[in-house]
Amino acid sequence: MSSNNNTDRQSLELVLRGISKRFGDVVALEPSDLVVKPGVLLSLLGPSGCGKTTTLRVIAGFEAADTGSVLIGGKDVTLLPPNKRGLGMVFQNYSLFPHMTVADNVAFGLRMEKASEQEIKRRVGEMLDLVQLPGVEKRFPNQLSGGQQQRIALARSLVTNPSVLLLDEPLGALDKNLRETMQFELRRIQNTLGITTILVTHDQEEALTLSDQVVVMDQGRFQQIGTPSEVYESPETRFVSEFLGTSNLLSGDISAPTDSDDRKVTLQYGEVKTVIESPGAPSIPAGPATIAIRPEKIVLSKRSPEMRNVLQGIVKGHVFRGSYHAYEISVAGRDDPIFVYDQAGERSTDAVHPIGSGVYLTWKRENSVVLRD
Amino acid sequence: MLIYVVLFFIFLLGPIFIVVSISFTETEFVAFPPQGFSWKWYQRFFEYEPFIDSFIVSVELAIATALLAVALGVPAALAVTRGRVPYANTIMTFLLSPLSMPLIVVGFALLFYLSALGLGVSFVSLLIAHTVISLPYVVRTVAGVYRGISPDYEESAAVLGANRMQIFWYVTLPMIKPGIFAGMLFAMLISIDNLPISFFFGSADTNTLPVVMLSYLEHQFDPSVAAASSIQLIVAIIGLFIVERIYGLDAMAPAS
Repeated sequence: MSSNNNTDRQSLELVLRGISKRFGDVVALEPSDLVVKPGVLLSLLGPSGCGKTTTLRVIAGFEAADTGSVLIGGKDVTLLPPNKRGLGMVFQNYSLFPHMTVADNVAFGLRMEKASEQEIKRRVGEMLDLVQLPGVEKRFPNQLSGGQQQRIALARSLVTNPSVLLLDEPLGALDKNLRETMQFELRRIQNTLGITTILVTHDQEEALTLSDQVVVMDQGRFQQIGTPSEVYESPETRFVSEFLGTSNLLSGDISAPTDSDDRKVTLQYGEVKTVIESPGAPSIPAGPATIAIRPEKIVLSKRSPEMRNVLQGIVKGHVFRGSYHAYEISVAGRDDPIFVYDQAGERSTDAVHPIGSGVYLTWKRENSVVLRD
Repeated sequence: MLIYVVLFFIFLLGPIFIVVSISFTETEFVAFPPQGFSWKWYQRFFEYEPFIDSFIVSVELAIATALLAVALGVPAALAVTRGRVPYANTIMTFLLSPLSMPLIVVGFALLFYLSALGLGVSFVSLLIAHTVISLPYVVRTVAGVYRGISPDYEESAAVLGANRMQIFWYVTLPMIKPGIFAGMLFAMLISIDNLPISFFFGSADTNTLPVVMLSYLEHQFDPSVAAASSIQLIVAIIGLFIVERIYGLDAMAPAS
């Protein structure tokens, strides 16, 4: 194998072509396509049972896809077993071999390649430096903290210069503070090596923080593929908008498509009709439609603002959450309250809207989006 | 509660205590409480050839049984637990079935079967018969330990380039070692203690110690049998002690 004389990593493209997988009657993955450009960190994000783990296991070769093919760097690896695919993988519970020292754990992949002991020693040292844990060679995994084990697992998976790195909920077992530190750490290492990486997670914050690209999955389908800000700010479906944090959904009637992506949506709450402007994909037909707005994109004011998108409501609930005020606003004729996160900013606490007071809700047209479903 | 525990221990350990104490008696007959103190019944054990010969057979048989049961039981346990084997549960039940069959029946059936195969009464037959009844213990303990080990370890090794043989050798085997060791010890204890199976395969060369002790008891009733029992007991205690020192006895309880 090549790692004996070559430590320069070659970033490779990963392509899934029409991959699908069923388990008996259960469809784990609908036929799906995906292209991951070299050096990109892509997250598969979704609730449990959405098919993200199955996708990862198909890429790793633990599950054989029913249809389709997996290409790494243009080479079809669909029929190769996991040990011939040249991948790196980190599991949720690290799965460090408990009977081996840290050095032997990290060296495992190199030993399988029959690398020389001298080479192994050098590479293990390099890897431990990379994950900022030099000098722990002789320890056993159970003598390390969770975060340290995580780093060693990463070192072990990277030592063989894999073409693609697979991360299966790698931070799921860590507590919150450590998780944030490790997110930065993971991103730093991934950037340093420029390795194509697939991250499976159910944590939307983790996906948005770490990724270049996010694939939101539900019911075995890739619901939306895009950059973190695209999927967060312009969700295409109800599921995506609701899965990625809190979202206000407003149902109304959309006018016929125009040349621009500006759409007029008529909301009817009781007797009151309000026309809202919102961007939406040209393929969305006229008729009933839903628009989504993030709570932090809505501005509250006591007096009627001079803006296009305005709703009127009454404050029903208020909590202070440290960095922002969360309001529950009821709009006459609407069943669900609208949630608004008002950044506290530099304003003093008397700027709080008291419960029971009337407020106007406004937002910029580009901060809302018409959903496909 | 305490009384209950104490009574329980008396009930369980009492007979053992009586047998061991009898083995040191000076009298020519079994007497409790023992009178005097002497090693002469141990001396008798080592001087009486059928005892010492069958003791050697028993020990050899126990070791061979344990090794064979491990050689057959470990791959079976691994395959049935996590391999993609059709009818895994049925196979598991079958492997464990000797546990639920009367040993007399197993022994009787095996004697006919092995004779038909031309093996007849021989050490090999005895070994096969003992392996059949020890196998469930190895399969149970190894499967129990293996089930408790996340498949992630083997999958990690696979991604790192290990083939199936390498995964087994470097990852699975070291991790299931406590189970193998415990299963092996169980197999040895089951074999060394077995009477009903061994009884069917008795001949001058293949009599095990329990068989000889039984026939000895039919004609004589001197305390040398107590000495033989005590020696067997010591063998078992040494075995358990080794396990306890190496893995702790907890390792012998299969994970649910």
